[in-house]
Amino acid sequence: MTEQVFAALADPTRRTVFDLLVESGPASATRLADRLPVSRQAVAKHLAVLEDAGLVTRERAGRETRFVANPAALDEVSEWIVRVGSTWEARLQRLQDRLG
Amino acid sequence: MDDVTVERSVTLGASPEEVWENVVEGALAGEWMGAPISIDPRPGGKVDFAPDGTPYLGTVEEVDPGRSITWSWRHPDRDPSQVTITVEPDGGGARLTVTERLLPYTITDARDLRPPVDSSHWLPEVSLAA
Repeated sequence: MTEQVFAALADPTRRTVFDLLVESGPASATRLADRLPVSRQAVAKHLAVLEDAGLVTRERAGRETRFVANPAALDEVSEWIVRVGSTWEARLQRLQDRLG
Repeated sequence: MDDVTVERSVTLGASPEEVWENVVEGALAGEWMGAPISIDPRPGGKVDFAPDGTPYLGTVEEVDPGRSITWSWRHPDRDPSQVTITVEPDGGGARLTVTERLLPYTITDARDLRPPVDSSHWLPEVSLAA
């Protein structure tokens, strides 16, 4: 859901977690916590929110759970902006045709 | 992340009064939106719009008669959003601006937007973020 993606990225720490995964590739919660000024537990909570929004998925690598960014989830927001923008453009054009 | 918002505006030759009457209350209301729309322009009033046969569930939030109106709505298959239309004088005519904002956290009053019959297919999507 677009609104879940938006809410997930509204938090600056979650945004950083997501950016790290996009830039540096899959990582465990522990490794992410090493690079952030927050605890591993806090990172795990943020990852759960990102996962619910479809922004990250998890994979097993041996005994480790690694998190993988899914930037495609952002496409929903872009799609909304394009669709809503073009819909209003068509409406305003019709209005101008009549009330020009 | 800032609000996800789309804004478009148009300059019209008609007066602000004429634009308001046509857009919000009058005969053009069905035409310019691409499908019939009915707006009850008072807080809590209903917005009825069903461009693809499935109604948007919409409720007017604020009205400054002749100048601006804000409503929230959602289509059962889409995310809720908030629409604001403002009409202001521009030279001899009027400038109409529309802003549609994705509602990220919650609907202003979910009860107003609840469909009359089966709501189970979309209510779980309405979430409150702390």
